[in-house]
Amino acid sequence: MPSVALRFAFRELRHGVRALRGFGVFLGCLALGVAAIAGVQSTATSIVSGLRTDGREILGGDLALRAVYRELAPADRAHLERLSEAVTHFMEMRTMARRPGDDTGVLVELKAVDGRYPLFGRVEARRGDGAPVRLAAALARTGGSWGALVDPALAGRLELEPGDSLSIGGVAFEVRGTIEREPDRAGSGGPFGFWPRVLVSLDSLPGSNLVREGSLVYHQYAIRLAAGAETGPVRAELDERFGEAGWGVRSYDAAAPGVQRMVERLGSFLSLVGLTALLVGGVGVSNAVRAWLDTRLGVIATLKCIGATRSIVFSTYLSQLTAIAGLGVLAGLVVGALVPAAAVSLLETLLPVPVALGVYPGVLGLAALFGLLTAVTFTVWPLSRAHETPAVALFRGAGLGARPGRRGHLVAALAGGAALAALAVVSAPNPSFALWFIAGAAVILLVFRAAGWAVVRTARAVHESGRSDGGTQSAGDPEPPAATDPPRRRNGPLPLLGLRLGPRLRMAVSNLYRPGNATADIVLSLGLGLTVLVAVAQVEGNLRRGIAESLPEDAPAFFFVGVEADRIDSLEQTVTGIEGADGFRSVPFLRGRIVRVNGLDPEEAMVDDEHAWLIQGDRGLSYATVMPEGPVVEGDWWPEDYAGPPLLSVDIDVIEAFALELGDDITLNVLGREITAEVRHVRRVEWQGMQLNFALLLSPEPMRRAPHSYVATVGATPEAEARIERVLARDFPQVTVVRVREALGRVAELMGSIAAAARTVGAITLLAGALVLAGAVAAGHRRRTWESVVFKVLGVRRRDVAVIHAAEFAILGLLTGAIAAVAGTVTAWGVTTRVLEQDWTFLPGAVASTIGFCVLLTLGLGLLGTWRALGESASPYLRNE
Amino acid sequence: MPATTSDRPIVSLHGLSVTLTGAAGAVEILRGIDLELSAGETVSVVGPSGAGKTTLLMVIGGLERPTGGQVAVAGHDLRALDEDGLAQFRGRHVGIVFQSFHLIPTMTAVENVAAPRELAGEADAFERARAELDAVGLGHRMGHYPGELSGGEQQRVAIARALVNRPSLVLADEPTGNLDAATGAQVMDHLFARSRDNGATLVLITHEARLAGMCGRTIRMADGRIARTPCRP
Repeated sequence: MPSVALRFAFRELRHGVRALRGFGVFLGCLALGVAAIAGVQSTATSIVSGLRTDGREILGGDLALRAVYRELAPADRAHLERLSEAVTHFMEMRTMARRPGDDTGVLVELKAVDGRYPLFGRVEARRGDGAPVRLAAALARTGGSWGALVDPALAGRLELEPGDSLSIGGVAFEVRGTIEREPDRAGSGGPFGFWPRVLVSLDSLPGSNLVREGSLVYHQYAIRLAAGAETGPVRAELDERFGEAGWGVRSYDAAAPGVQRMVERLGSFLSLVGLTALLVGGVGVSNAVRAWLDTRLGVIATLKCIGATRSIVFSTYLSQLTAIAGLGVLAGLVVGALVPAAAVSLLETLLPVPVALGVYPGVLGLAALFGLLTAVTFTVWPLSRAHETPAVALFRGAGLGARPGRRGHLVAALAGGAALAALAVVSAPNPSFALWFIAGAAVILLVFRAAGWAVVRTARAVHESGRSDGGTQSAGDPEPPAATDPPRRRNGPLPLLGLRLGPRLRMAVSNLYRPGNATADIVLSLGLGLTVLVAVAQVEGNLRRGIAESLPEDAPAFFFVGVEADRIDSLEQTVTGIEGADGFRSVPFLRGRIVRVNGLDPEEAMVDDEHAWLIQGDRGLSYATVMPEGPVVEGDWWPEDYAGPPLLSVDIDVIEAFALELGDDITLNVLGREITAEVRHVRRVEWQGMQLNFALLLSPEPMRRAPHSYVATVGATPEAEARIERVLARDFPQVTVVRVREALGRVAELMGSIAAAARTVGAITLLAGALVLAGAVAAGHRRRTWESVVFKVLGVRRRDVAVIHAAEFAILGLLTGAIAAVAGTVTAWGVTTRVLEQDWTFLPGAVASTIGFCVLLTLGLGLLGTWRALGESASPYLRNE
Repeated sequence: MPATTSDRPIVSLHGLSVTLTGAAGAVEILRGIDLELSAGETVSVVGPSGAGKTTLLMVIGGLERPTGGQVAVAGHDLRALDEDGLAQFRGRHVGIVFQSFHLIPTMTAVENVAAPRELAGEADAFERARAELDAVGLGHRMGHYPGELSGGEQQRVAIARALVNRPSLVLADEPTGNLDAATGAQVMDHLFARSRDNGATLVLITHEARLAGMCGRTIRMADGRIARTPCRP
């Protein structure tokens, strides 16, 4: 860049705030978009960094072994002790907790810890009076009772006070405080973190009926290595010794991979939504640059007169705009960097993880790059057009209008857009999703650009239609009757659209297509933000319906988990004997993990990452003699008396995940034993039905001889639900009872939190759109003032002018809202039916509220902007002109 | 105010025509102009509005491209130069003074004057700019912005800017049009003096007979043509 251009740019910029006049929308749009991206990314990074920094606390040790069903053999335990400085063992399970004598149980996540727990960090708990409680004392057996610490939510729900009794698995625990912090809550390898926590001593369990053969109990052994010891070699040894036996081995540097994965994916999705805010802001940037350059055309022509080449002019203004964009980006970065600090208390409520507050240069650098690329993409083209202003403009004002820019600059602007897309894709953890998102956003941008053009054309057609029809004149009509129109027009064929518009409405419509109108920009900028909001509302609404309202009539009311094999018949008799209970079903239940597919490591064998859940830890599985209900894709079910080598019936997802064919092998590790089974049968499991079903279903042998429990379901009338709970609490206290509606409510709550995050970022996109609208209204201020002056001179009342403007903005809002409603609904339909594979229901409420909101927004901002114009006195304008 | 002239033509126009095409169709602005101006000459161009005076000035300054004929200024065939070439040509050989001054509002007086020289890549831009401002009596106003200067002062800054690169040709389009009579006279004194001091040819569009009379030659234009044979007093 020529140094003279930088000097000239500096001379314009050194006037500080004055040099930024007219850049409010420019700065606001960039700052908002960058803040959204920087905020989301900083928050996600704070969480992930927290996971890494406090990895030992979160995991509970330097390394941890975890398995379902079984403890370590004494020899293995001794080996573990030799390898480490300290070992702690705890068990986790879901079970029912209730006040003694009360039939209403609450599903809890019980964690029974030994005396060495925790090896890192500490459990923080308080008594009812707020005094801190020491863990060992809180869980110890004193006065004949074992102690327990409980989640505050559980204490609230069961109205527990310290000293109260809590019955779990036949043992009455004394509640000695509520848990404020459990250091390794996020690191639970099993499916925990959903229901309230109860902490008890490991020594209390032998006296309970919680641990029986086949009970779904997770065992974890966490170890602390000697100071300075390398985790790598120890991990390798543990993998070799225990991995084959079905133990999962994790180290502190990946303490909570599930949480990390979820946070990174959600962060990536929200960043992409933030990017749409930046793209919408780009329209504001472009408009602001155009408006500002209009004020610099005289200077550009002057520079050319005194010898400046086009490249010097271009460089001068590009460097100015880049510097100002830098300010906007910087403001966005500051706000974005502060977001995690502002959200920390909320985050720590939602996620059981520490948040490592800090400034993350990589994240901020990425957000800055997005901002600067957006600025360049949306600045280059208006600048290119402006820098073609000829010097001759100074002599006769000629050439100050729009001029075509240079093709090279157009290419540069398009390259900027492509770089933005590439950056979004490269920086996303899931590039293919990012690519689809960008492609979708680009299509929607094009749709709105076309829609804006169509609105302008339609407005012209409607207006001309109304004119040719004569319209209705009235007192105060700002336009004289079309007395001079040729007779052919007044008496000619019916107008194109056949609409009769009153004079005020006709003027409002004409404002939509007049030269200098901002119709297309407003439709584009507001429309994209509204589309995001409509789409989020519709997807969320459909998911909620899918979860809660669209449950099939035969959906069960309860799941019973952890039913011992020898008591399943007794349970069936008891439950089916209760009036209102219906449709009892039970299946054997085991947990196991896929360890090989056709002899390959499952991660290597997987061809479709969408089904990665299949190999993330243990999966529930079962065996059956009779084929379950549901559609069959291919293959043959085994005979009822089949007792040959193990066979598998799998869900179609398993086939797609590994590109399997009938006859291929899957090796499962169940209870430490490897079972290789041939894929013989493929089903399509309808998960929405809430029926007992499994992705992996084995033939009976040899599973029926392995220790296992049962899961069961039963339907019930609302009145019967309470009775079933009471009877189960009395006769089967060890059985975990999951009330389906309650579980679904909890899922809906979690989903609501995610949707709220998406809505917040979507609202930022809308805010960017509102900024663009405000900018467009401000840019049209001079024109509106002049119009208002002329109208006043012609004797039109201020109220009539206000009505014209109000009608203009209301029409614009209505059209934009309607287009966004359609685009958002189509997007939501695609996401719901294609990505989430859910049934689709159109939700008119979300659409109506979007359109209403859009009308209010455009009307409000539009009238706010024109109010001043209406109040301007006519005389100064007339004198000056 | 006689100027020292030489017979070497600084401007040579032959069969010059300019036709502009607008929405209403083609309009002939200049029709077959033949004109030669010598180095150091002072020339006024007079005529009614629409006669083509400004267009003639623009063609000579390389701001407007002719549609026909030959244009040579300071030894350059202007038709052979592209837009950037014309800008550089103006920077080195032409100084322009406008009726509305057209100073850059964000630059101080001295920066405005130095700008053409900076664009020409000369290292002594500010030194020369200060000398030019001293010469037009504005040595005490160098750090002031155009908005802080009177109309007369702004025009004097514009004259200094026009002359800072020692151009061989100075073009002025009604330079006193926005000034009162007394200030206008003062400004013209500076313009003539500085052009003469630099040996530049001065071409001045004016409606004032008094100003036209101060020039060595007057060209009358009407309807896109030179109406009367240019005369030397």
